[in-house]
Amino acid sequence: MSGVERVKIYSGYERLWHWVQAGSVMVLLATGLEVRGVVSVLGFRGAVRLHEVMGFFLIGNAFLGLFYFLTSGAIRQYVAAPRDFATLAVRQVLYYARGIFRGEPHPVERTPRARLNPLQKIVYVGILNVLLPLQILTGLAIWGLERWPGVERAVGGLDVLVPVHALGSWLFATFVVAHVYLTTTAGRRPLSGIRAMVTGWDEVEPHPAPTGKEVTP
Amino acid sequence: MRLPAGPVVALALGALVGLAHAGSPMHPDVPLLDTEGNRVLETGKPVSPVRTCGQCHDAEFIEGHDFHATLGFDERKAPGTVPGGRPWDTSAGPFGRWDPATNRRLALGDETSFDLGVADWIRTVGLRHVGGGPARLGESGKPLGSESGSLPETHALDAATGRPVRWDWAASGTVELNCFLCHVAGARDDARRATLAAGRFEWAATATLAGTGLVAPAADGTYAYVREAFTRWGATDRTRMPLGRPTAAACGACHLDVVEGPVPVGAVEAARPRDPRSGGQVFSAQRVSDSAWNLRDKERRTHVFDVHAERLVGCTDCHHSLNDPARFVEADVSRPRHLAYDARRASVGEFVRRPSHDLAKGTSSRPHAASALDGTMRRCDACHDVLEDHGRWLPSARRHAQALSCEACHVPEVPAAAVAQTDWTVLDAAGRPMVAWRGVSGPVDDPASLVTGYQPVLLPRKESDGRTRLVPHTLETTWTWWGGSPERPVRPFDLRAALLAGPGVHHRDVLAALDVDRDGSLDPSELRLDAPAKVAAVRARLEAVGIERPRIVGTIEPTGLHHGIVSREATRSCEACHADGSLLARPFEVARYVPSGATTELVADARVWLAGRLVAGADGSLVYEPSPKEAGRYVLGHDDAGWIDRLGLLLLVGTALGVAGHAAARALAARRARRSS
Repeated sequence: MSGVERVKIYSGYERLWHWVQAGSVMVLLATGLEVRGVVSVLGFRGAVRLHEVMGFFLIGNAFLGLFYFLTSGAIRQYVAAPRDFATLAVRQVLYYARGIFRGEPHPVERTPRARLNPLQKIVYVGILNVLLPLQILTGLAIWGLERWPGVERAVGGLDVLVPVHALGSWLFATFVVAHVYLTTTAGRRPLSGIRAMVTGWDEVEPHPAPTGKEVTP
Repeated sequence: MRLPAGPVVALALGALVGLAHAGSPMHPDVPLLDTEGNRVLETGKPVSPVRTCGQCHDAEFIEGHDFHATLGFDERKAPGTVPGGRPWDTSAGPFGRWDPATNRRLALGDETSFDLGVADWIRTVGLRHVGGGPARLGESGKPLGSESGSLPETHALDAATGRPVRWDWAASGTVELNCFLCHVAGARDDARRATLAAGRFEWAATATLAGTGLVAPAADGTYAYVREAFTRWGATDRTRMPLGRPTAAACGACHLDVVEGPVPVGAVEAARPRDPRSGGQVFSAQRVSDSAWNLRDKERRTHVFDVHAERLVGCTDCHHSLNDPARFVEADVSRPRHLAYDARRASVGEFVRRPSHDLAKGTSSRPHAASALDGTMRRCDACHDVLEDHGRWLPSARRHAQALSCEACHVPEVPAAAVAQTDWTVLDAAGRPMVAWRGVSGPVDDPASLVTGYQPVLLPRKESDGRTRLVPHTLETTWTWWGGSPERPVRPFDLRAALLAGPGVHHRDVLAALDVDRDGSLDPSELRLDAPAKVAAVRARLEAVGIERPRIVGTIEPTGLHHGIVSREATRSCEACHADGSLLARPFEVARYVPSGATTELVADARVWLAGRLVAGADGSLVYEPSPKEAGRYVLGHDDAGWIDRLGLLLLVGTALGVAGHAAARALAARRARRSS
């Protein structure tokens, strides 16, 4: 295919933030499994300690990221604004269901200022606005049982907190599986997406697809 | 017979240590008085502790403030009105509450199946009674035998006919509050018990002094006074009769296995603890490895039986008099919230004159006498700063302390045998119930049997501070026959009449049903009703002796374990609880077997509950499977999230399979595209 251009997709901080967050999530999932008694590597106490440390690390990184996205304007990446957003989302679904097997081009052009397709926006809005806060709040409540016993009583105790936190963890784990796979569909080659998140650079294919008017910063 | 030298020397040393206990150096020598207040040296009559000690102490006040004396006598209610009690219980204390393990029941006034009259109670249950209360007074408040009282007061069970016969209180006398039993170092409880069992009640206190040299047994079963052993003016000699505060050994005469001095734990009692109903708890400063029991991993158990005993904390340091000016602190349950400390104290003189013998007590798992005093004892955290110590290494120390009793970790195991089951549905040839033990492999009376000890089960219990904590317990199941109209537990007398043809011989119908190996006798393995035909045979025998509609009832009774505290050996590993094999959910054998068709439940008036389920074990045993969740405890590392985990796993696996399928389809499509191009 002609017209491929090499563009800088991710800034250095974005890549650092992503991998720190990814690492935190993976460690949290692994230690969470041990705290729940599924595996035994570090021992219960070690797993709890590491889980707590990584939890706070993730919270700190999340807030730094929020600060960055707000101040840099990159937060707009996550805002679903085009009028034909639904149409594009349907096209994206059809692409995954059919077009990708026929070698059709991506229905949404990927640019440094519009990296996310409509489906990604829906997922990230859900994760960053619902799932991550839910995990942070339930995690803090579990961590703070001794400090804030009133919170535990108010929400129904560990009987409620742990299952909700566990559900969030399962959803995060599911997201990780789907996310890693879908990166293989994002670029020209299966590993292009991952490489881009490492180097920051990606090869994009400008095409005349009706992209609508993406809001860019 | 040649006696082994070691134990004999040890016993002698122990006896010397016991006698050498000096008592209080402040306590004067006293003349012993009889019930009329005359010196026994002159009258030769039995000693009256109340008269003797009453010369200085207010004995009437003491007896009126001593739940060891009343044992529920002062809390009696009409049958069927005791909260949580059975239809025939008249109190929550030993005087009025049916004890399944002994299967003895104080008779009610108007019934025909008379089991225990008051005199029988004194000679059986009352062997562990200090005297006074119901052993001295009738329901009317007048001394027993002084007037015609109710049937149980005036009559006793005739062992030959099973019918009540009049008891001669004038001949037996009554049992006074026996001050000597607890306050005389080296008191002879065995002599006292023998005198009580023989029905010579008024001599019980005198018999208690058998080890002092002041008295000597007479040929007629009474005691004579040894004049030379008294002082010139006829008082006791403090070197012979040291008087002072009760020692732990005095408490051990009735409670737990209390061993002081150099005689090793178990030197006298083979693998059997001295108090079979205590769950095998031992209160002693001796090292477990030094015990005479054939303990498993004995050389590894170098810790002491109880760290409090090692640190010289005695029984009365915790279970102190409730008006002891030095120790009394009003319990949280009754203390006004604004009052941290009540400065009003009895003076030493007032206390010596009128020491309350109502002792501080905790909250027992089973109702007992004087339940109004529950929670008056200081809890562990009144002496120990739990958070200061545990907070250094235990995450969420406060939360752990709120969820678990201290004993949950500090009594991780009981290195002794304990009764697991008592089966009154069958009797051995001697007319005794079948008793199964936990914590020992082999016969409990055999010194060679290996004592394995056992790990307690943690049961939720609401404590005096209002919190529910998990507390270590042992559970003892008793199988008994109930029958008649109105329904009552079948008396041991009737059981013997039904099951035995004579001394040492089982009835032929019982033999025919139970003698599996057809050797003409029943060995312990055959003495269990594990098949409907066996139950039917015994039921028929009970009906033959007049028991209507007999049925088997199983009662599970909890015993809280609060002694045998260890320090460094306490449970410290997180994984002990926060893992699959959590000790919070460890199965606990409740009964060795279940008689055919019998049902079992926790005794109704227990203050703990079974948060879990009772299941049948593969070997026919009955096993309790605790559920921390049902006890209100979500245990990380042990409990799952139920359907959420299953849903989450399904979601994850489904997604993984979905993306794998999608990837495979992409690969195939790409391959096809390459071929076509």
